[in-house]
Amino acid sequence: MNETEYRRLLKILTVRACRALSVAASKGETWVLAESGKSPADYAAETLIRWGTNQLQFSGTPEALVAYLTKVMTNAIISTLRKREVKTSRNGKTMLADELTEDSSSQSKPETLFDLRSLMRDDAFREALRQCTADDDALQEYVLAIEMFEDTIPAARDIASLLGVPETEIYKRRRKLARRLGKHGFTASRRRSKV
Amino acid sequence: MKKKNEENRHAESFEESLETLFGREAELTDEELDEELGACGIDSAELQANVHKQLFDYANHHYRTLDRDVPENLEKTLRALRPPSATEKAKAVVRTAENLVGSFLDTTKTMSAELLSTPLPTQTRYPEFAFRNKKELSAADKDLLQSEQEDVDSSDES
Repeated sequence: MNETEYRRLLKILTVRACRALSVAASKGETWVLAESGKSPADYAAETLIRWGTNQLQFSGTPEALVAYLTKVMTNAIISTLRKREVKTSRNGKTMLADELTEDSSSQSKPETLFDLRSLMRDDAFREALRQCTADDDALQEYVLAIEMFEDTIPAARDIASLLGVPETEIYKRRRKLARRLGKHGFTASRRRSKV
Repeated sequence: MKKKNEENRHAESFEESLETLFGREAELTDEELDEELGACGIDSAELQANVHKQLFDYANHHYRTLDRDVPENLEKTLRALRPPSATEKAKAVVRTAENLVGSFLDTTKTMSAELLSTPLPTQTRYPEFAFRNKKELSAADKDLLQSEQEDVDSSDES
């Protein structure tokens, strides 16, 4: 990978961390952003350190490396989400890379976070989506379309076909929803952390 | 092992959920990534500097101070994420300014060429067209019209 690709990798990892954490925060895991002690940048840094110090075994193309590291980081986030004692941490500061260690103590099970169907049925998450899409009919329509696929995980073309719009329109709405939920999640978290 | 499998299953399911809702991060352009980071209150340059510092501190603490070689991948990542020095920043500012001025001059040249190549409407070539909306003529206008009229008359006579 060249230097530009490394810089892009960092952005991709951080955006993934932002998305994962904002979904968790929107779902009502209020401690996630303000009190877990790790920012999205910390998760990205931790993953890059593990990769950089050969703690992760990977041999493949740079494109595959991005997907692999993204998955590794998502695993790390899930691991954090499952740790009950994180809720008792009231640090809220960025951690040093040295302090980024695994902890295998007792865990909570925020199962509804992982499955799309359960997530879309979660009242707090639905409320967050409602607030993010309140002024945008196209986004409301997009969220409704996802909810309509009861038993399957819809691909972009399935949603596009249901709504009768081009597939590119679905990609556009996805990006917009991600930005809005990110803004909503992090703003709400900052608001809560001040209280 | 069971716990690891469960975590992997959750990770896959969670990734699938995120992808369905928001699409793949790797498919975003650099500008779109910056925009989404911005929506979360993260500045790309600050992010790079912050992560570089974390990696730099880690490399110092675990390798350099112990006189051990920094692993190649960590070294490469550090090099890639190194924030620009003051000189590099200044050069970048100069480059941006040069590009701006260059593009402004190019636009001006293109627009002037377009204007010069566009023929004027036929009417504007005749002096009377310039006076078409004037209710009262000034002395200078009258003189000008008079001289034009004399020109026309003299050409008729010859």
